Amino acid sequence: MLGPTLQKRWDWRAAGNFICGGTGTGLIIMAATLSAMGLVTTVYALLASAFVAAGLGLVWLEIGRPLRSMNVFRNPRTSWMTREGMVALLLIPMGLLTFFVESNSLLILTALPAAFFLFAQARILHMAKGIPAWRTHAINPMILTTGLTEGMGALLILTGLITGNIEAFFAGYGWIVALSLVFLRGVAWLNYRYSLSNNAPEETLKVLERANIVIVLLGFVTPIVLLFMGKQYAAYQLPLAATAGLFMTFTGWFLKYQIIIYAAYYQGFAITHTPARGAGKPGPGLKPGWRLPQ
Amino acid sequence: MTRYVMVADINRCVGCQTCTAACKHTNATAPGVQWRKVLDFEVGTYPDVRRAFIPVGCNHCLDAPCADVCPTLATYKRPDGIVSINYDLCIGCAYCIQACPYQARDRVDVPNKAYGKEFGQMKHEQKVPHSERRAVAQKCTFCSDRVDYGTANGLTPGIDPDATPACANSCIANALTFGDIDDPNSNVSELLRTHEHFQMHEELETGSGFYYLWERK
Repeated sequence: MLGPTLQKRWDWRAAGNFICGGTGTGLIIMAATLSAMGLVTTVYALLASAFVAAGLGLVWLEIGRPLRSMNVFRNPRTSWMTREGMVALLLIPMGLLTFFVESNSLLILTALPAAFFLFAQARILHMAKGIPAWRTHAINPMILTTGLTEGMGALLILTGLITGNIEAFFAGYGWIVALSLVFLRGVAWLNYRYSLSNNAPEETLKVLERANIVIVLLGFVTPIVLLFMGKQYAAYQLPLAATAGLFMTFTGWFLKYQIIIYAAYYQGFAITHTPARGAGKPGPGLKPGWRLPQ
Repeated sequence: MTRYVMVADINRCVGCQTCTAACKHTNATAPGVQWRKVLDFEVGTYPDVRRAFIPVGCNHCLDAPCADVCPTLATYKRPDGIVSINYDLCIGCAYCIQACPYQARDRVDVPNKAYGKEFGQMKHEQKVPHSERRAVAQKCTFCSDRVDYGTANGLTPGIDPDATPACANSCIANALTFGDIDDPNSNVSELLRTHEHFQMHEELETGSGFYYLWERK
């Protein structure tokens, strides 16, 4: 009771918004990046818009008063939730338009609101001061890099849809971009864990410790190995890239689900002094359930 | 300017939970929801054990994280420092619940029955269902309706019981004191001048409006 308790108010639907929003915006940004490297990627804008819309739909299902949902646009001055909603109004139609007109320029333009949307999602978590696992500064690079990596992963899973894309991906810098994203997400994950080490609720740290092996093995090592193999064995490029994409995407989803659902312990309660009783002296304070700096 | 705050003398608090009961009685909160409650801390191991009773609730922060994140402006700060909620604007997104480091907020979608489903609602629950609070954020209001009534009728919040939150009125040990911290001559300013004090989670820089006295200077 005194120690940090697990938040129960944001469930799989809220996690779904961060998962779908990150993957959708990452997909748009990566599609725009790879289009500049000669790949044909405007077709992915449809899926990306669907992802973002699905994420927002999940949030709509979670709020207590869905019929008042338009009120969400009332506080652009300080609320990142408002900003996320506003930019979605631009992002989704632009994504759909990109798909229908098949314009690379429009795709690159759509990457701008997509990047803002992804940033807004990172900031939503960062501003949640009641939850130590979310409010750390290190959550920002982690949400950004995992969103981009998930987007790249989704693109790789579906890269066989368009003839010639897989060859262009490995012939050009595409695979280097994918490798870099996997690497950067690994660094962001390490940085995130480091930012919380010895300064977070015990239970949060236990969850992150349990998740670490999955994230490092499946989200870091495996995609790197598969991408190098894809570069080496031209005949198997398509299945290797798709499998790497699968690991990149699902590890991102796993990571976010862990952080939003299982590691999200509240701050809890603490006192810096205990009172004097009778003629005694005041005593030391207490912060139950925390692993503090030694 | 005026900024109302609560001061709790933890040397005085005996953990009787009268403030908790008074709050529930006044605000008719749903079963399981306590806008004011008293935590029971035990520190140390035998034979050097200490116990402290710590009243908690909304801290009516100066830089309220809940108000910053609220996408609807339903949570807002009044000019007198009280953080308030417009229930008609709130969409129940629960973002404020995640932003509050004091676990002071609740959202009740379907109220529990105090004695279980088979007994239905109690008479007082039927009389004050507070349907406006259903599925939206709710928290301690510092009994702002009493404060407003008092200031409109020339009373001084924290001094006159009719203008003072129910928890502070009911405290049997005079551990809870409500008043205007911006008035250097107020009851709370005097207490803070004469006692060592702390605010919970000061490192989060919320500008908490809930002070704990732990020793006389």
